[in-house]
Parts: sequence; structure tokens; C-alpha cells
Amino acid sequence: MADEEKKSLTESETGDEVRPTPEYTEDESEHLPEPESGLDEAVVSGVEASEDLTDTPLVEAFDDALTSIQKATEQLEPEVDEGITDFRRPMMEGHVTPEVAAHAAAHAEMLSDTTVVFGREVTVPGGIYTVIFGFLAVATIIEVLIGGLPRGILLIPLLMGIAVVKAGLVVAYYMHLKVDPRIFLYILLVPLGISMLSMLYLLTVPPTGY
Amino acid sequence: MSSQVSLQHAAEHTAGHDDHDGVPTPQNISNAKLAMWLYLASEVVIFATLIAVYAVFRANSPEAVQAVQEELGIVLVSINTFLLLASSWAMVMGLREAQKDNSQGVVRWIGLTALLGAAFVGLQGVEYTELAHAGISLETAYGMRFYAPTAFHGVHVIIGVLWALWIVKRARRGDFGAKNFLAIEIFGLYWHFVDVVWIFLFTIIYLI
Repeated sequence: MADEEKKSLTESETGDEVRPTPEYTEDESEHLPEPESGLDEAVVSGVEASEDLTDTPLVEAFDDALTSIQKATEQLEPEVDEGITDFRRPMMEGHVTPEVAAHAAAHAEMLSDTTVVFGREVTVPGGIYTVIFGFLAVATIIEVLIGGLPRGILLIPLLMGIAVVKAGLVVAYYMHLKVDPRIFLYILLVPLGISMLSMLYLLTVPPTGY
Repeated sequence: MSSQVSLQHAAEHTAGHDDHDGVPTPQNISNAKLAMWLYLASEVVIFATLIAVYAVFRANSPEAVQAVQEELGIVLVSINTFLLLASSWAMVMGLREAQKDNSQGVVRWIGLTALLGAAFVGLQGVEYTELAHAGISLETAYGMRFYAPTAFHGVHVIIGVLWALWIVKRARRGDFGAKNFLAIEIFGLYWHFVDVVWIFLFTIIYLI
């Protein structure tokens, strides 16, 4: 085993001999080389001055302040710290645009019991999903009430309009099209659009034929 | 705790849906979700055709349709509509519980979805029986146009109930969690679509 390790240190993958990095003695590593020019002298004096500075009260106070801020932040947000870190990681790696961040926030909102309805914050178990169910139930009651009215020219468009709004709410919130990739919306709308046009075309055919 | 769950969920979705300018890249779309949406697109065409046939009959024979609507009444079908809307709500609440890593919640809400779906099918059976007593069968002009879309839809609900029970069984086994809820989401797309179809069938067949 020791021979194998030695071999790996002295030979590269191609079999060429590799010279091991020479080890510095303790004295050599502790001390800077002797300056050979004016530039070297300036560098050495600069390094030595910076080393002296690290022991000054000002730098120590700055270090203490940074440590205190870090500890205070950890104590303030112990629960969400991990989540925030996870959330920000892709952002730091350059994968998150403001649009994507908004998308993620919208998903997070769907898991919250608090939602905004007509500009007012509402908290109910189930959050936005329960609010949408409330809308659907009320819209259905309105539909049934309107359906009992005498037939008029506006009745059918009104009833169809309510149905479209109800369906839109289900598709947008329950089927998550509001936040999911738009390709799913196009997949739904293309056959729906062609079917609607075909239906309207069919309705123009008189019952007795042309 | 809930805010932590929300942010973790958000982070997963951030990684999963990098939807710049609304143009998703291939790696951002779940194959299963895409497949379900394409299937639903085919369902759109089927139901649109059945509704179109009914709509033409309704446009040309309004008196016949009105007579049946008066015979049937609106109470029973309104209750049924409410049941299906409630089942959609229960469905999405079940998904929410899975995202919160609560298997018991999934069992409870998806179980309720199955129960409400089964109640819908039961009440539809009651309605069909009443129609049969009123002499409205598949052989009548109205009957065929009425039964075709509603029965097609009813079969979708029955399949959905069975699917929900399967999801409940898997949830009891502990198959779902905060990072594994795609199967529930796929079923949810199907179930909500069935609900959307009913929203239109209810309006077009029973109200207009």
C-alpha cells in the first residue's frame, strides 16, 4: 500500500516522473524572503504593516461587530433561514429572474392560508383554494337564479359568461395554469378555439338545410 | 413552520419551472403533466362535439328542450353541481396537504373527493330514472342528445372516483410527501377537467 502511494506521488497518469513539491522548512515558511529591489522592499513593508494592523483594537472591533450581526440574524430567523437559503441558491447561481421569483412566490401563496381578495387580506383554512370555492358556489347560485328568469336576448350570453368565469377560475387556480408554463394553456386553447369556431359554424346552418 | 414549507416548495418549483418569458425549456416541463394536458386536449374535442350536437338541437327545437327542463326541475342537478364543485375543492386541498407533507390530510381530502364524486354519480342515476319515467329514452330526439354528453361525463366521474380511491390507498401506504406529489397533481388535472366540463354541461343543458 505504501509503495502504491509513493508511486502515485512520483508518477503521473502517463507514467512520466513527477517531481514532488519541495517542502519548506519551518523557518522558510515563517519568514518573507529577503528583498532584492525597491519594489520588493515596498511589498514586504506593506505586508508587515497589514499584519501589525490585525492586532489593533479597530480591526478587532470590526470583527466583533460582524460576528454579532451574524448571530443576531440567526436568532431572528431560525426557522426560515434554511428555506431562504434554498430559495436564494438558484438565484445566486443565476437561474432566477424576477419573473421566476414571482412564479415561485405565487406557488408559495397557494400553500398559505392568507390571500388577497379584491385588495383585502383574507385568512381562511385553505387560503386561495377555499376563496375560489366560495366564488364558484356563489356564481352557481346566481346562475340558477338567473336561469329562472324569462328568456331574453341577454340571458344566454350572461349565463355563458358566468360559466366561462367559473371554468377560468378552476383552470387558473385549481389546475395551476396561472403559475405553470404557458405551453399547457396553449395545448388547451388550440383545440378549444377550433372546436368553438366549428360549433359556431355549425349553428349557422339552417335546420332545413341550404 | 408553514412559511418554511412554502419557501421550500417555492424553491422546488423555482428549480422545476424556469419559465423565462413564458417559453419553457424542455427540462422544465414534467413529461407526465404534458401527457395529461395533451390527453385533456383530446377530451376537449370529444366533449365539444357532443355539446355542439346538443346546441344545434337546442337552437332548432327550443320548445322540446324547455318541456324537458320543466319536467326535470333544477333542484336535483343544482345539488349535483355543488357536489362536484366541492369535490374539486377537496381535490386541491388534498394536493395541498401532500405539499405540506401530511399523508393523513391527503387520505382525508382525496377520500372526500371520491365520496362526493360517488354521490354525484348516484344522483345522476336518480335523475336518469326520473327521465325514464317521463318517457325520455335514447330513442327520442332529445334523449340521445341529452344522454350522450351527460353519460360520457358520468363515466369520467366514475373513473375519477376509482382513481381517487387508488390515490387514497397509496397515500395510506405513505407514497406521497412534500417532494413527491406529482401523481396527485396529475389526477387533480383530470378531476378538475371533469369539473370544468360539468360547469359547461350544467349551463348549456339545464339552464339555457
